[in-house]
Amino acid sequence: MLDDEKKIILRAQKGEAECFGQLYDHYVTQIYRFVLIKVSHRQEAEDLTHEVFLKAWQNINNFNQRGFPFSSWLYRIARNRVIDYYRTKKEATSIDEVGEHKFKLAATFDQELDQQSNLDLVKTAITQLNDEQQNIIILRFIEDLSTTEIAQITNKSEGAVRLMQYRAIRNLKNILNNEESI
Amino acid sequence: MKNLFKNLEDLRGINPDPDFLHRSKTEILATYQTHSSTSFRISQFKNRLVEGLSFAAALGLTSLLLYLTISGLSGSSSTVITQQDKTQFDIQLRDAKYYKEVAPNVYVVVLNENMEEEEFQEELNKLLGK
Repeated sequence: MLDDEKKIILRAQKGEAECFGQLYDHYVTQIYRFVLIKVSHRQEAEDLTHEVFLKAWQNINNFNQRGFPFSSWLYRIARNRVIDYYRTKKEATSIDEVGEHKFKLAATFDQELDQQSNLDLVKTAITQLNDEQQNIIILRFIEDLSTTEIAQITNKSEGAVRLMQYRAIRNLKNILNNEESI
Repeated sequence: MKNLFKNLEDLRGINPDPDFLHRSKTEILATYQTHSSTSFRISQFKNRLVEGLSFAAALGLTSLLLYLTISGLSGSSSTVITQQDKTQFDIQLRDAKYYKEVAPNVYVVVLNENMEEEEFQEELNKLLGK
């Protein structure tokens, strides 16, 4: 959270672009990371991240400070945008093309990042989880958000988040074990 | 994959391209802001109105509950208690049937509900290889 975040948001709500710029600088990396892990393509992650912040800027007056943190609001926009992205993509791509296309996207992403093979395995395994479990893994274990914050973002109770967290890790581990044994 | 936690942490190293950040931020901030000071005031008023209504609704509900509790106490309590016992017994039977059917998942539920935060974290760490 930014120092004086409440004041900055209030000024951004009054139309001060510079203040929204501060919010952008502070949150853009984590939102980008969240989107990139879910879509596995740098260019598309950049476009989606741009859209998330554009939407946030245009609708900042709808953000109510007393409800939940600004970051949660941004994650909600990002989550919905990624859902829309996959919905549109599904309509535009035939089932046969999906596997190949996905493979190509993942390969490009891998080359660009040039990371260890373990990281690639984990990243690919995350994309095999269902949407909710992906969100939990990214928010809890990569972005290090608290259970309370995740509950606010995902609109679930803290107990449900803890359960999902356990199941997500268990499933991720199963996927990785299966990958290793192949 | 022994240390899953470390691998997940390493994914924090993903960063956006600085050129993209500069381009995106400049474009967004140059976008015409649809809100004006009037719409800001309207939105603030809307927020306050929603909060006011929520408070009124909470107050109303509390009064209603209080009324029901007080009026319930003065009624015939023995009939109510018998009915309640029967309902609870029915619920317990239904619970037992449900848990039998979902036995494989019960472990996780039990973990969540009966464990202290530390114990739950410990169980999670085992999975994470921490």
